[in-house]
Amino acid sequence: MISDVVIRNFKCFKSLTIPELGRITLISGRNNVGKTSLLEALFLFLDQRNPGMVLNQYSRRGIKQITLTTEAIWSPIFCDYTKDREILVSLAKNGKPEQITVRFNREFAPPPSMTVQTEEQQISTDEELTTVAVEIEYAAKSGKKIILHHFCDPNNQNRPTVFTQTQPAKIPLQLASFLSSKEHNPPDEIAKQFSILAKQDRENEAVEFLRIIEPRLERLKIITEGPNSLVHGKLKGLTRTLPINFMGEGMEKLLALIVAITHSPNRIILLDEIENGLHYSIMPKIWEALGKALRKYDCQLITTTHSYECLQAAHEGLSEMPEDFRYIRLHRKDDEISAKLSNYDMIGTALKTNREVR
Amino acid sequence: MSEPGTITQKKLLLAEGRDAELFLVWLGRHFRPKKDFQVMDFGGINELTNFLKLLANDESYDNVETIVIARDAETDAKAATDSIRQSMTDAKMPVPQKPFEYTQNSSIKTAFMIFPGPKHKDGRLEDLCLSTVEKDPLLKCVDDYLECAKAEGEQFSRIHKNKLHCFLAGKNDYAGLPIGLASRERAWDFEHPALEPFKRIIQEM
Repeated sequence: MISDVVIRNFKCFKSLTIPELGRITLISGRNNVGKTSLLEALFLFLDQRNPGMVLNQYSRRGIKQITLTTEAIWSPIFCDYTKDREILVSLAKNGKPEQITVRFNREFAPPPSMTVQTEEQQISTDEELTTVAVEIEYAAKSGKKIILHHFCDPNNQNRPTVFTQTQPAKIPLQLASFLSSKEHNPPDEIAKQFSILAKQDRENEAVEFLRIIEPRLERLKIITEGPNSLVHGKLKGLTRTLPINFMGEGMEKLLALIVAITHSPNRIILLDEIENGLHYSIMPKIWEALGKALRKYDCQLITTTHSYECLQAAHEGLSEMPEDFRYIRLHRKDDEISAKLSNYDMIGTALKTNREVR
Repeated sequence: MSEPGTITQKKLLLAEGRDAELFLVWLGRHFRPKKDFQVMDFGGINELTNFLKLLANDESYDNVETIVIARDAETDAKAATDSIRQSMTDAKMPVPQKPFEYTQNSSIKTAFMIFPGPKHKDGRLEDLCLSTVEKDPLLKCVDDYLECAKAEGEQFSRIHKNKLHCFLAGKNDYAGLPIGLASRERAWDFEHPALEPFKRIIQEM
């Protein structure tokens, strides 16, 4: 569980403090106030060992190709594109403070004998590459600092690749998933996670969850055709299985969510726009089932919404676990963005008195 | 266009329930004709603390200059006072020592009002409304009617409501109206001395 979040100089946030997060945290606010950026900042921390972390962020926002100057890869994550500032993401993980600092390093030169992790990305290039790196300094409570460098390989201009130098394994692996609202979550990744459930004979946990929106679902299984593995569902009355992705956005989304929670415990799940693809009438049941699953597997869900109905449904569905719920509304005043926190009871009052809290 | 459920004015009047909300809307317009205030229903008294905290979370809260809270004394005006003061403390607002007086910090001025008024140890908005029409001869008919009903075995647990609605039912223009809408129709004498403490607080917002 993460809490006590401080973010500085990341995208639209000059300085943002969020003192409390719950096991379930719903984030709201007007357009362009930084809801998705808040998830991205948290995932920047959680995914820091991944050299493709920044490019993946762009990909989730629909940017699949970048015209490459080396600095341009990383500039967009700095507040006002100002690379002279340092990004700070500080938080408490299970009560223990940890933080990363991200800064440009123009002098970085990769040693010739380095060990690299590669992450191929779809990047086009039309400018000369230099070895500008972003330097990520990780610090835990112990005070010991570990530095990673993410950089573009200057020697491979035909297919630019982002590398990580030094030893990412020294940084604790953070179990986290980012589920996008703009992209389909990779079916093979979902199948891989589902197969962990299947090996443990726990497929029914996912089946029961999906039955909230598709009561005809009898079972789930992995079907491999050629190089591709997909999770298929068998619906009552049909003679064959169907890929879950063909059953609709809601099914696909809920499957990704439930396998993320159940396939390994202690995971942090970041989900953009939870209500997309889901009919309002089933939302209370989804929240109730989510709340129980998150508790059972000691996972944390941080998600965004624009929907008043979604908030109402969360309040209704989480009535037996009110202490797990937090609601954060992001406000922009001039150039500053702040977070306003409400608990379960405050949201109950807001709903009862028709206060606008989105 | 203002959004419902948001702060739109710098001066806020918070009322317990829809009737009190509408009563204060019309009383407020009478005493502040420029209508530079906003009345909100904070639900029930158990919701007040959360409501005040939610107000502080509103995007426009920084613009708010004055907050006045109104509720019934019910059976104990002192307990009602203590309850409001506790809610204001919990919401980290400036807390007046007693009803019908203002206090303030560097950014906000606050007060609270207890129906039916500062001289009463108990009572409700209905009692205040009826006190403004105390000279109306219809009240004698109301008392007679309710006495008759009692003699017939009727027991009243909320006699203030029975009395008020009997009074309104006996008026051609107000029959069937709830207290808030009756306020709009001017069923009550807004210039009655019983409303003087409320007038002062509202005019000084």
